[in-house]
Amino acid sequence: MKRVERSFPLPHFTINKNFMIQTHSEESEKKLGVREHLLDFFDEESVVKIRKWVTPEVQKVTLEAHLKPYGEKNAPVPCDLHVKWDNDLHAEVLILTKDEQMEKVTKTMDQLRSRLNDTNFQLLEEKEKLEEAIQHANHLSAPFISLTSNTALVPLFGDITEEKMYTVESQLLHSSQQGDIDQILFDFTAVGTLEREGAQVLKNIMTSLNYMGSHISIVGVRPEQVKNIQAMQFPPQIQYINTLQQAIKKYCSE
Amino acid sequence: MDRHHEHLAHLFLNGDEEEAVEYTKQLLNKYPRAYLYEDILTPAMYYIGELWEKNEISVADEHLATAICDFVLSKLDADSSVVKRRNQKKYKVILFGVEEEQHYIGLKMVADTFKDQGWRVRYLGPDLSIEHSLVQIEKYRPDVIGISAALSYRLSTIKKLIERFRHLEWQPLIMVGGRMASQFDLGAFESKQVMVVRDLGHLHQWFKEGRDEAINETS
Repeated sequence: MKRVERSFPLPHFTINKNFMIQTHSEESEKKLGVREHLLDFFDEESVVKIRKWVTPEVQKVTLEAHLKPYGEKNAPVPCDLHVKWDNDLHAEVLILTKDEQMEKVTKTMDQLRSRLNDTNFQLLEEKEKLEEAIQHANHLSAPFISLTSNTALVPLFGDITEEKMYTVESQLLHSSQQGDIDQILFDFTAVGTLEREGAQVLKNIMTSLNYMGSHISIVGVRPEQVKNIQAMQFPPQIQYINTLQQAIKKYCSE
Repeated sequence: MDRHHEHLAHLFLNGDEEEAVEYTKQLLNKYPRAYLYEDILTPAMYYIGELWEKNEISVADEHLATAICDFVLSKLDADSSVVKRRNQKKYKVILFGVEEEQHYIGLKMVADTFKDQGWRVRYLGPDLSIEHSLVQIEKYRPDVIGISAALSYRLSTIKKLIERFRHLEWQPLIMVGGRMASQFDLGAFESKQVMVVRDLGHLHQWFKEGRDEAINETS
């Protein structure tokens, strides 16, 4: 049988020890163009690898490498490099680009990942919107209402959480300094649960207000909240009034 | 010397995601997160590159390892305690990999690092077109725009992006990172508005000390 030389439709080269190309196949010219130096075809990241493996000491080797982007491609193209040294001076090199199938799978994977990332991103956006809404609601849950020139009412709404109390802290401290306010009524009527951390912050706010010269009254405590308030040991100067009606009667009837 | 990164690399290559998560969690008990990223995960991925160079693994193996590493990072992020909103800084950052760029593991670690520092983070993933990035940037108005690229072919894209972002009215700081930044000297890009970030260590240094003296505004 006659041996067929280099008639196969694939990029094929013969090179010398210094990677100088001696001959190249028609296919290689069509696909990759003409270069003098074999390494010029390859991505810089692959050059080290090729230098290491394509030497007469390794008589025969197959290795993966990346071709520089060519034609329509805009990323390095993975390929298999088959090398066989005829003698110490010359080698035959065959380049097989990787199966398109694999590229397809890789692309699909990338798309899936990017889809996941998009979803993740949307979730993050929604989460931030929600956080902003909560923040906004928190801001509104302790309005400072002046009843008379020296008495103000702070009706608290919802659960007393740490987050919420920190949100309203500075606005309360500031508002209490406006005008001649020296009597602040905290109305608990609309309060849900009194969380431990939240109550702690509230207690600190009340203490601060106290130091700043205001008298604090807590109004409308419900039976289920009493235990928590007791456990928190609110400042002893605080007055407790049963209902808002009584409180208003007491402080607003001049 | 510790061989954590090699062990982890082999878990990635074997596609053993459960074991990999477990192992990183154990490491987190011993080391801070920054150390894990810089001195274990990054070397693990470089080590995988070396194995490819040694002709011991294929590109397909690398892809698998990357996917597992991605999974581990996502898992760590989900498990880590979020900085409470009250303690969050007001600073915002948008991060993405330039068009055609498929490398993103490093960028993901950068995103986590920003989060850890209390920043608000928009991580947009790799391979983002300039138009898409602009839409997000205009909407979010970040203080920092981080762009990442691994391969030198992206140099012209990076240039284009910088040119475009430099003219944003609120003048965000543009950070250029990725393996490209650690391998090539991108000093020519640097300016008052553009900073080249070589690696995570460099980023941490920026958090602590700001820009280094190399950028002397008077010079």
